Amino acid sequence: MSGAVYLTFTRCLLLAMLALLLAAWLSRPAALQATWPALDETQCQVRGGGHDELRIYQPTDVLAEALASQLCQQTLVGSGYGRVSVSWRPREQLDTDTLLRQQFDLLWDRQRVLEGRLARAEDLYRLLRPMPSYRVAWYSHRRDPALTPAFFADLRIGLLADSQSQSGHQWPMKQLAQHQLPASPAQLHFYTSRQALLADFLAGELDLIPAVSTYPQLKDWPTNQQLTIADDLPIGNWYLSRRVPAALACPLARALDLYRPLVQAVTSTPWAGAECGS
Amino acid sequence: MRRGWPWRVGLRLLAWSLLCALLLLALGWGRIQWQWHQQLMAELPPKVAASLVNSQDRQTSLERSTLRLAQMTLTPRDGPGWLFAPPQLTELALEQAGEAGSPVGGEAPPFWRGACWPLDGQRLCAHWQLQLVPSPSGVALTSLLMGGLLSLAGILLPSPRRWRRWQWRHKLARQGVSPAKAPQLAASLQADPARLQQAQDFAAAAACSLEAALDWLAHADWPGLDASGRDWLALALRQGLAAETALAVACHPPQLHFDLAARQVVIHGLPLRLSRTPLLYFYWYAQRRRAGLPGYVNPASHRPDRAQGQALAALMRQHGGHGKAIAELEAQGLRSKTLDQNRNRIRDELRQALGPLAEPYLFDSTRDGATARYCHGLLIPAEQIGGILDESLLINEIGT
Repeated sequence: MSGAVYLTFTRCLLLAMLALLLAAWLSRPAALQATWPALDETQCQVRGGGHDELRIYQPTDVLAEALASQLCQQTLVGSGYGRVSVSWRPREQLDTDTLLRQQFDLLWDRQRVLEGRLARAEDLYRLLRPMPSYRVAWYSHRRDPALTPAFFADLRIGLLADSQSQSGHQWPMKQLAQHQLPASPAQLHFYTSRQALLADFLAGELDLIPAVSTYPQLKDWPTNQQLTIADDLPIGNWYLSRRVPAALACPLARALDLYRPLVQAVTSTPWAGAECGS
Repeated sequence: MRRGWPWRVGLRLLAWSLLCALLLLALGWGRIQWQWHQQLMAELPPKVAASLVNSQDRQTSLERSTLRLAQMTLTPRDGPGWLFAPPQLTELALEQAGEAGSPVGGEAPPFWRGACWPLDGQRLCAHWQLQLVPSPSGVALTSLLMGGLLSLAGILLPSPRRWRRWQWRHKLARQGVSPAKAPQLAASLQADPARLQQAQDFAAAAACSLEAALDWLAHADWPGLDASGRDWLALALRQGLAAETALAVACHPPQLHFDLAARQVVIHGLPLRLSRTPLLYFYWYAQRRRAGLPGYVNPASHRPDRAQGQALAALMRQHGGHGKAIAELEAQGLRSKTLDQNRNRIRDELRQALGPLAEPYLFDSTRDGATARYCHGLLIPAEQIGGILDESLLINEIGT
C-alpha cells in the first residue's frame, strides 16, 4: 500500500515537473521592441513645407512649444523646411559628436561650453544672437548668510544634480569647494529638477539653495537672506549651424525675440534687437 | 456505453489539452505582462528623469510626456509569440502621486497595470494597458502538443494500477503460469482478486494447473458467479466435490430439496446427509411451508400436541423413521422439548456443513401473540422447496 502511495506521489511529482517545464518553454514571451518617442522634445509640421527638419536645442523647456509653433506657422513657411523639433535634453548629452554631426541647426549654449567641446566651433556654428549675463545667488531661510563654517553648520543645502548647470551646480559647488564648505557631504542634497529643489526649499526641507530671481516665489525674497554667488554669468548665446541657408539667419534671429521677457527677468541688460536688415 | 481505446485516448488528450491551454494562457499572459513591466521600468524612469532635468514645471512635463508616449509602438523582436497576437499598448500615462513612500495617490497598481517609483522625494506613477489577444491556432497547437506529451508521459510513467498488475504477473509466474499468459490473466485477476483463491481451489479439486483453472473459469459457459455463487463454489470444492460438480453447485439456484430415500437434503445443489429423526422433522416443517401453513407454535410444556404427534408418527413410519421416536410420538404426542431438540440438531448440522450459507435454509422464530409461546417456520420461500412427496397428509390439518 505504501509502495502505491510513493509511486502515486512520485508519478504526480514527475508529471507536474514535466508540465511546468513544458509550460515554461511553450509560454516564453517574444522580446518586445519599443519605439520610444523623445520625452524632452516637441515637434510641429511646417505648413506646406518640404522634407527637411530644423532641429533646435535649448537648455530649458520654457517657450519650447511657442518657438516651434512660431517657426512652423510663420518663420519657416515656404523655406523648404517641413518640420521643426525643439529639444531640451540634459546638457550632458550635448557632446562633441552631437555638435560635430550638427545634429542641431539652432542651439542655445554658452560660448565657453561650445568652444570647449569643439575646436574652432565657428567653422560649424556662427553666433546668431548674443544674450546678456545674469545674477545667481544663495537663497536662505536664515538672515545674513555668509561663507563661514559657523553659518553652514547643520545647513541642509539643495543643489541641482545636473553637473552642466552653471547656476544650480557648477558655481555653487565651486564656491563651496573654495571655502571648504560644508563640513559634511551629507548636508548636500541633489535634485533632478529645479522645481523640486524650489518646492523643498519653500517647504522648509532645505535651508539654502542657489537660484536666479526668475521664480515668482523668490522675486521679493529679503536681500538680507541672499548671498550673491556671481553677478555676471553668461546666460548663453544662440548659434546657427552653417548648414542652414544664410537667408534664414535673420528671420530666425527675429523669431528669437520670443525670449525677450524670459531674459529680461533675470538681467537688467537691455535685450538687443536682431542685427539684420528689416 | 463502453467505448474503445481510441475514444478514451482522445478524451484524455482533449482533457489534458484543455488544462494545458488554461495553464499556458495564464502563464503566457503573466510572463508577457511581467516582461513588459520589467522592460518599461528599466527604461521609463531614466527617460522621465532626463525629460525633467531642464523642465520648469513637472506637471506640465508629465502631461507632455504622456502625450508623446501615446505614439509608442511595440513590435515583437523575434517574431510573434505562439500564444498571443503581437501585443498592443493601448494606454501609457504618467502622473505624480504624492510624496515618495506615502500612501497618497493610492496603492501601487498591480504589475500588469502600472508601477510607481521615487524621484526627488516625490512618487511618480505610470499606468498602462497592454492588450493581449490569444491566437486561437497557436493556443490550440501548443496545448495539443503539451497535452500530447503529458498524456504520453502519463502512459510511460509507472502507475499504481500497472504496478499492481506487475505484482500479479509475478505472483502468477511464481505459481507456474506461463509468462505469455500471465499479463492477460493478471489484468483480469486485478479486477476480481477473489478469483485467484477460487481458481486455486478449483485447481486443487480438479488436479489441474492454476493456469488451466483460471483459463477454465474464464471461459466456462456460465453467466458468471456473483459473490454468493463464489462462496458456494468454494464450499463445494472444500467438501471435496469434483470441479464440474462444484461449479454446478455454485450455479445452482437457491433450493431446498428433500431426498428421503437417500436420507439427505440437497441444498443449493449440494447433497447433505442428516440424522434420520431431524431430517424427518425438517421435512415436516418443509411440508407445512410448502402447504402455505403458518409457522408452528410450540405446544405448551405440560400439554403435548397429540394430533400433530400422530401425524408426525405416521410420516416417520412411512419414511422409515426411528421406532423409538415413533412410539414416543404416539404415546405422548408432540412435545415442545422434543421439537426444540430436533430443530436445534437441524440447525447445528446445517451450520456445521454450510457455515453462514445455511442461514437462508433455517428457521424464522417469532413469538405467538395469543399464547406467548415461540412459533417456528422455515425461512425459505415455498416455491424453492422440492421433493415433498405427500403434501396431502397435511390437507386434513388445513381442513381443520
